[in-house]
Amino acid sequence: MILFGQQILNGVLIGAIYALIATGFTLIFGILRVVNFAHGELYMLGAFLTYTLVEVVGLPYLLAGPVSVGVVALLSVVLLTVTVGFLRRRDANATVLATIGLSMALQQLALLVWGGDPLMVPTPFGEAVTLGPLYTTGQRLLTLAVAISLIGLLAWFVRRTNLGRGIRAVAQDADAAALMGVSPLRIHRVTHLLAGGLAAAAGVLIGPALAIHPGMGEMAIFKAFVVVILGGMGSVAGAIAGGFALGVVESVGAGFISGEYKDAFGYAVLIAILLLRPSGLFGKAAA
Amino acid sequence: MRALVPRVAMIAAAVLLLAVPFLLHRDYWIHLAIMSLIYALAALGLGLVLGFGGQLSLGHVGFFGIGAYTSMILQLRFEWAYWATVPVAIALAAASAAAVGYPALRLRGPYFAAATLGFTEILRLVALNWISLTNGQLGLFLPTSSRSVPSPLRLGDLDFGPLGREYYTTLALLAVGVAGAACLVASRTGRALVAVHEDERVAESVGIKPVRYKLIAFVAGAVLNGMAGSYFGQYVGLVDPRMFSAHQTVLLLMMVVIGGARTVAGPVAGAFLLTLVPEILRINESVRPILYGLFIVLTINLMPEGLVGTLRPWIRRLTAPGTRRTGVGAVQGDAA
Repeated sequence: MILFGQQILNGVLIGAIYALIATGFTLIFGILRVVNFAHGELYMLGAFLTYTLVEVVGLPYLLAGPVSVGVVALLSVVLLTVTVGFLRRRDANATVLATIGLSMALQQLALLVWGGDPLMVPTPFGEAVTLGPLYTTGQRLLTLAVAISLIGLLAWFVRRTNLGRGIRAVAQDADAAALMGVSPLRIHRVTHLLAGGLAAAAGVLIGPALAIHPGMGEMAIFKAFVVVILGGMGSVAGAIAGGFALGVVESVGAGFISGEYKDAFGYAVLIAILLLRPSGLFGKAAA
Repeated sequence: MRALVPRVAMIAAAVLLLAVPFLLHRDYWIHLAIMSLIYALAALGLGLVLGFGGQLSLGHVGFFGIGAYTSMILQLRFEWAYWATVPVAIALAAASAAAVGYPALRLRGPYFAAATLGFTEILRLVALNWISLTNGQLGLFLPTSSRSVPSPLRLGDLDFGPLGREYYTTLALLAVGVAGAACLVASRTGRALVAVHEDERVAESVGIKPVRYKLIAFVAGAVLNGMAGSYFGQYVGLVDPRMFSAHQTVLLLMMVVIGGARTVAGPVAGAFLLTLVPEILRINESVRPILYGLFIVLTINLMPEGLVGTLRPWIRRLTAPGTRRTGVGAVQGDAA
């Protein structure tokens, strides 16, 4: 029973990371109708940038993290605008192909800059923490706290600010929003900024907990896909719930069934859901 | 008149391809030509799915890998002769394509891409973890003695050396593939596919069942990929889980997209271009994926119809002034 509780706790913590990544991924789909296959690379860059800022530049982790998030968020706007912003026929195949290309280029670039060996980001919160009979680390608790605050902040931003209302308007009907004076271009840039920032934040938080490597973004995008399809493409609430659900399912599955095929469970769930409910568990019927 | 230029180009390409072992005297170049031919076969298969079916499949690298692993396992574990394994490899690739495609082709756009990507990832994990069958990370390799392809081609007393014989065997395989693809594209099925790609609802309204034709393209693509994969494993002598990597998926997609997805010649040209150019320019292996990635972004943005698709209207205009073809005729012309 204690082992089961431990698996659930681990699952919730990794689920927080999945939720952060998937939220940005689903946001971009909801607003731009673009499936960003390079989204995982932003998460990877967030982790590696923090590593460089801490290990090479010597910044403290708590400063390096926000700096990395800011840099990657800006980078996300520039890269995505160049990659899919000017497409004439923005059909699904074209955007998927273009972002796959971007993903491959960024991944290989990271391999050249940081090498293929797994790295750990040093953290001041590495010591173990006991919660009754369960064990975790300070870093993992920090991850959970930051993830929940960021998601709360996003919810507040989208609900209460003018820019956030613009985002929701464009998601509902881009043409109508444009007629009401909401600049779609501006909303697209803000969305890239938010999505890039959330993915980078996930990278910053995971760096000290799990080893980072240039392929981590590719793994993450598979996970984001599973999560978003669980929750319904374009639904932020679905992405958050789906993120935590996948984290727990994987963690419990790895602990009690098989560790080697841990990732395969996710894909099997993905394919099964796609076949049974093509628009996601909580999604509305596809247009 | 209109058909003259493509026909001359085709004959010239065929003569050039046949003459390769006489023109290139270094084994290194013949080896590259063989690799180009194998990739051309695989790209042709993906081209049928992406260009004619309009489906962005990230699973055809999986069928390539299934072909390679099947031939390798039958030879090494069950001591079959290579050519006996080929039909099994193709059949297995086609059967898995039917099993995956039948449900998955009901999905659209990104959902379809995600489902096929999941399929390839599961194959990669199986290849990595089912060690008793696949030898895991290390992969399976043929002993050097049984490595060269036993050629069924006998050309009298002509001797091209072992590599030359392998070259002609590969060329014959590609010729079969191209002929098959061209027949499919020119047939009623091919026209139905183009119609589905142009507008699924209109196609459905005239009695074309979209999923059925998409499935035909999907399985035909898998047959070509299974064939290419089986031969690839035999020629290179090594198959490992990296065959299922995203890198391979992107490479294959790029050949199709850069060459021109909605043509038969495009993927073949793309395969040659992407196999030869990095070697001729001596581009470092570790830089190549970056360039591949950037080129795919550029092509999608600037030249969405690919090289062949972009050049074709120009050639037409040069050869047939005054007869601008638009509408259905142009669509059918594109398919041929």
